[in-house]
Amino acid sequence: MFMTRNEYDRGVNCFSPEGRIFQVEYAIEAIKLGTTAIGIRTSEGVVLAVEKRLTSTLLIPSSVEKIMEIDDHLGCATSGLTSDARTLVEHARVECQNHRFTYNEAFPVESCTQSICDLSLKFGEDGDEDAGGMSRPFGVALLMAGWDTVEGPRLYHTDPSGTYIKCEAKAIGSAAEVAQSTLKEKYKPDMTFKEAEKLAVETLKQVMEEKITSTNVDIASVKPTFRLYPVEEVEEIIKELTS
Amino acid sequence: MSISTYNGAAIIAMSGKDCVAIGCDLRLGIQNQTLATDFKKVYKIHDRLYLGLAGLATDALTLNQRFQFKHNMYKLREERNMNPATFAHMVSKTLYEKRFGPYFVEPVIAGIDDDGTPYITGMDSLGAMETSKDFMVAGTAPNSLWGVCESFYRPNLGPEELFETISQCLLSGVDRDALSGWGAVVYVIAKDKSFVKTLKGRMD
Amino acid sequence: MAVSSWRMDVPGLDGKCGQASRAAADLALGQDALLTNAEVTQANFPLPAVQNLDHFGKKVEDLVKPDHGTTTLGFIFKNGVIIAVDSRASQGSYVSSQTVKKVIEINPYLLGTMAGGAADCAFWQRNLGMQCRMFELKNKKRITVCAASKMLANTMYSYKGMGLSMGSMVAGWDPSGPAIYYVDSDGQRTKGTIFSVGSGSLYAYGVLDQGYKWDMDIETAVELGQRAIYHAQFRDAVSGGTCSVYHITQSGWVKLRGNNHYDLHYQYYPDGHATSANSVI
Repeated sequence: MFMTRNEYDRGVNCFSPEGRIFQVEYAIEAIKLGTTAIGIRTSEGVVLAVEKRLTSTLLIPSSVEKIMEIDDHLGCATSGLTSDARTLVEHARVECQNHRFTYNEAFPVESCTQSICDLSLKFGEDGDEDAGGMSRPFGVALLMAGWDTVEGPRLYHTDPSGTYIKCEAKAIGSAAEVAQSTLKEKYKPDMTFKEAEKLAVETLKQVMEEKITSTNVDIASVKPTFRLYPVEEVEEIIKELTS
Repeated sequence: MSISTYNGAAIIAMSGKDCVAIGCDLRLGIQNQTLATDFKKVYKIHDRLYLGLAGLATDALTLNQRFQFKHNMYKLREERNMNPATFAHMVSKTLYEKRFGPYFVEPVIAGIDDDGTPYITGMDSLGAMETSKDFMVAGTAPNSLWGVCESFYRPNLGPEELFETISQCLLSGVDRDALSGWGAVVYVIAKDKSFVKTLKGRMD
Repeated sequence: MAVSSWRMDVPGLDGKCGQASRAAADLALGQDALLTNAEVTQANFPLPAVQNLDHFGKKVEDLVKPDHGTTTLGFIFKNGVIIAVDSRASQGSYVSSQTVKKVIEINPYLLGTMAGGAADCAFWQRNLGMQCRMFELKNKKRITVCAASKMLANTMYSYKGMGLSMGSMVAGWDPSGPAIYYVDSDGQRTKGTIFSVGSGSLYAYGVLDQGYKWDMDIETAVELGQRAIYHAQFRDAVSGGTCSVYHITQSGWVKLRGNNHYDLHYQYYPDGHATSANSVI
């Protein structure tokens, strides 16, 4: 993609003559190396499903966290650098709590996504690290699944450029392209939650290199509160898929 | 610490058509500690004249005894009861005698004279009189008592209606004051039928 | 720097708002003397630009007259924890509210009680609730009563001498069982089994100590808590309103009672209470 390296690809606060910021684009590339994550929104709630690459049998699967709780009504699936994701999630959690403290209400999903994107943009060589800024862009994309008090279930996608998009169904990570076309084909606006759950896992199964098991995927729902499925429940869903 | 809020009190007097009413709360406390809940702050001078004394309880008791004495002497001399207005002036003068070391009380006087005309007056602790044709309040909850009286009072009420009005005012008024309340007592004075009733109130 | 962001202009109160006093206020703040440890934004309160902060503080305290009339109690017994409180707020002798909520439900297993400054209590206990939730999200387990109360005590200690007024009990149930901690604005923190806080606490202690038994059943304990609050409300002029009783067990807290003092009095003493004062003549 970037055949010729030039002096513009090093600085994070410098446009190239063609009007690009290479470091941001590279960061977006980093996500394509990440594990696949899928989110689908229905009127009953939002489902998140992620693949966990377990590189060794000695790994404890539950310690690989790709879906994280932000607040009661809000969770996210991540793809890319897990450590960067944790920084963003920590930021989102604090913002949610501060909103609750000040207004005694749940933080709207879009506002939370916005505040993550604000942080994502705070990079630069002389960026003040005290304010939470980084010297480079965050190498992570998030699928924000939440339930708004007013607007109901919501799904947002964020990327390292600080852009966020509202989605009905979205796939990110290494198999994003294939998975996205499957979703585009099979998603229906009037899907039930159960159907969406099945579609998410099915799509994931289809794009995964390894055989899908209850330990190498994580599933979570927000309807209307966040819940990460226990292994038994994941097992059940996979079983239904094969039958 | 303020000496006039040491014990706590609430008193209202109201006039109606050929009748008056005077009521008080029943609390006796030492600052925030409630000692008794049957401490009446309205004293009878004669059948048609009552005196309410808010403020420092010990001074109120002393003053009541002095007024009983003075009224008895008056009766012996004149062979008649004191007129409410006459009594009020005597109270005022008695208080001013202690101009530089006053009794810490706020009197409220309610009565009817021989032809049944209502008379109501209030005073500060030095004896400055303020005669009113509708109502008068004293005690540790003056703001809330004035407030309820201003809104509930209607002129020319009969004894029963007057009783209801003064009772509601007293009970509502003391609910916003921490130092008075714990029940109340109301005296209604009319030419032919006078009566007294004890009211159930909040006990906190 | 926090001080320069906005200032309360109070020339009428203390008269000295010149450059020198600003420098003094900056000094008093010690750059970032306020909390910087927690990741949850602890508001950086600007100090008023006056020369004598203590003197000014006292004037402000007189002005806002924080709620000092309260009775709250808590005790541990065989079947859990009981928390009982009154509901009156007062400013001096004025009853400003009869329906104040003095129990703060931090989470389903933790309760905090309020005595002292109403705003100080409410603000910092909500802040505690926020810190507890962050702890939960980070560590994927509930915070212990011990840790929660310590967080509150640390917050209080960091504001020591700045005029906060709070006397609180943090009560709950964690894996080690039931617990109550007393935390106040001096930074004191004590673990215990029976506490009562507020202006009516002495009256409540009287009833509580007389009736307390470890082996009580729940109904008896709830009744004891209610009765202790009732008597405090009766005797203490600045306690009153309603009496709320909470019970905490392994499965969290439940609110069991919320009775108006008027109803309680005529239920306990239908024929009147024997409190009389007869002057000796």
